[in-house]
Amino acid sequence: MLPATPVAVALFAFQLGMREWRTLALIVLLTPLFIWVFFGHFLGVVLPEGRLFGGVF
Amino acid sequence: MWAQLGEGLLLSLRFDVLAVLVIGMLLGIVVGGLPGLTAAMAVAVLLPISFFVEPVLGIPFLLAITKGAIFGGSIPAILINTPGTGAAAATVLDGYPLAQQGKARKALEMALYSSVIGDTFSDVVTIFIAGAIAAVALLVGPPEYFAIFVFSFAIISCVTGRSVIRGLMAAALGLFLSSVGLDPLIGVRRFTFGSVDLTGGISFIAMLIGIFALSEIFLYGERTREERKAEDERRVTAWHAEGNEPLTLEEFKSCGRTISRSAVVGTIIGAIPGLGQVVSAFVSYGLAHRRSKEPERFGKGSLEGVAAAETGNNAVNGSSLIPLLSFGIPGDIVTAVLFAAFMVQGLRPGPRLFEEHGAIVYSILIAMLLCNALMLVLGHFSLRYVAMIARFPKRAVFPVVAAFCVVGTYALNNSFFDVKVMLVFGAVGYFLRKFDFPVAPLIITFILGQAFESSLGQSLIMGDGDLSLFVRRPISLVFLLLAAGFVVWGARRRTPLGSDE
Repeated sequence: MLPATPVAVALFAFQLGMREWRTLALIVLLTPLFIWVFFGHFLGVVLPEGRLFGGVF
Repeated sequence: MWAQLGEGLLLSLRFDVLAVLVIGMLLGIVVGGLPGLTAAMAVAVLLPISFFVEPVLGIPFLLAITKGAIFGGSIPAILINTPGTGAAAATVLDGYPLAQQGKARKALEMALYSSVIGDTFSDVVTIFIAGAIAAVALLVGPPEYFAIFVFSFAIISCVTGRSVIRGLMAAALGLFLSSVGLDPLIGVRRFTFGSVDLTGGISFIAMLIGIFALSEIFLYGERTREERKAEDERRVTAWHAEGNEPLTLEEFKSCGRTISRSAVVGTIIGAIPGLGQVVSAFVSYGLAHRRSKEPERFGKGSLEGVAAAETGNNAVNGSSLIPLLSFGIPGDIVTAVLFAAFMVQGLRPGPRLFEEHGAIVYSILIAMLLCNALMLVLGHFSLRYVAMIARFPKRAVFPVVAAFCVVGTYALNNSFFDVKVMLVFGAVGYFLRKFDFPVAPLIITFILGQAFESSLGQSLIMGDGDLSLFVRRPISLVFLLLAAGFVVWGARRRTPLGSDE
């Protein structure tokens, strides 16, 4: 889920008209990081594994 | 009551409770400060987080977000002529003219102080009244409950949205969706189409997140790039430099009567299901205008107007919990989300809640008072920063919100089925909003559907299938007549009263 999140966020933001590259880079990096730290570690949610490349994607 | 209140006080005066309130309040102020993100959307998206902690932390967290968002909504309303939440719509009328005159700081401080006073008054009334009403609610039986449910559905369907027919259709859809899963009386499967995932019914949280957060993103995404860009630019160019003159004690004192009146009005309106912050803010504003010594200043930059609107909308926060805690009936979307939070924590809202979990309930109510104190401090220091956040473009916020929607829904049961439900209800919410259907009746009838069905079933068992039982019992008859009266009145009115938010 984590490698897929930045891709999804970036595509979504681009689709909504986001063209400021610094802001885009910031949200693309911080969103999965926050999800991983807050949901994965702090709340103990078992985030799903991907189906490709041994669960990485 | 006093013993439970004492226990509640001890439970709420903990460092972790304070920390959670600070985080919730800051989050709420930021969300409220971002035009387009509503209090309902914020609590819906962040609801799953509250399940991972104990009720004295989780529910006050959601309440802090709501209170922060309602106040935060006034910041863009005053500074950029765009209410951050629907509740701040009346604040725009005088707040923005004040900002144009270079008195933005005065308006913001008045909004903050009047919000805190209105909210505190409402919370104190709720603390002392909710338990007493719950004791009375224990005396009513299933037929009366059935009639109260019908009354609540009628009032919510008739005051939200533009059309009573659309409101009733949304309520009917909510009742139908609540019937998916096991029948509450005899345990028969209904509308599950053989799916094991649907046996327990449709996930309310997934539904809420889909309808409130995802549909909002869909609606934003539907606009053309030029429209979205123009909206963001309009917000930036409408920006006015803050005036640096603070609010004086004389100015604040001159609004004392308006604040007191609006606090009472807001508290009463909050206790009636379906009306909510928008109605309260406009009724308070209208009364202040009529009673003011300087009515000609209203609409041109009156501090009294800001005080009335902000006291009125915040005074709803506490009293809107009265029907929820006493009867188990959520009166608006935010209390509907809180209903879900109570249920997941094993606390069933209703008359027995005070008997069974009195200390926890009072700790939650006391935490609301702590929230107000925090709002005063955090609001004061965060005004300038939130004012900057109000200019942040939605195209940067919505992708992040979408990611949280997916992860938050998945985290409920570690289930992708819930994520699919969320996506489906995102589409449902999109079409409902697109065709001007109010979503509040759908959500509230969905939540109460099973209890409604149970009370109907129990009443029919009590009366051996005789429907005249509902009109032979005086309380039941009064509520059924009131419900019919509301539907007739709603069908005749031409302007919307309540807010879907």
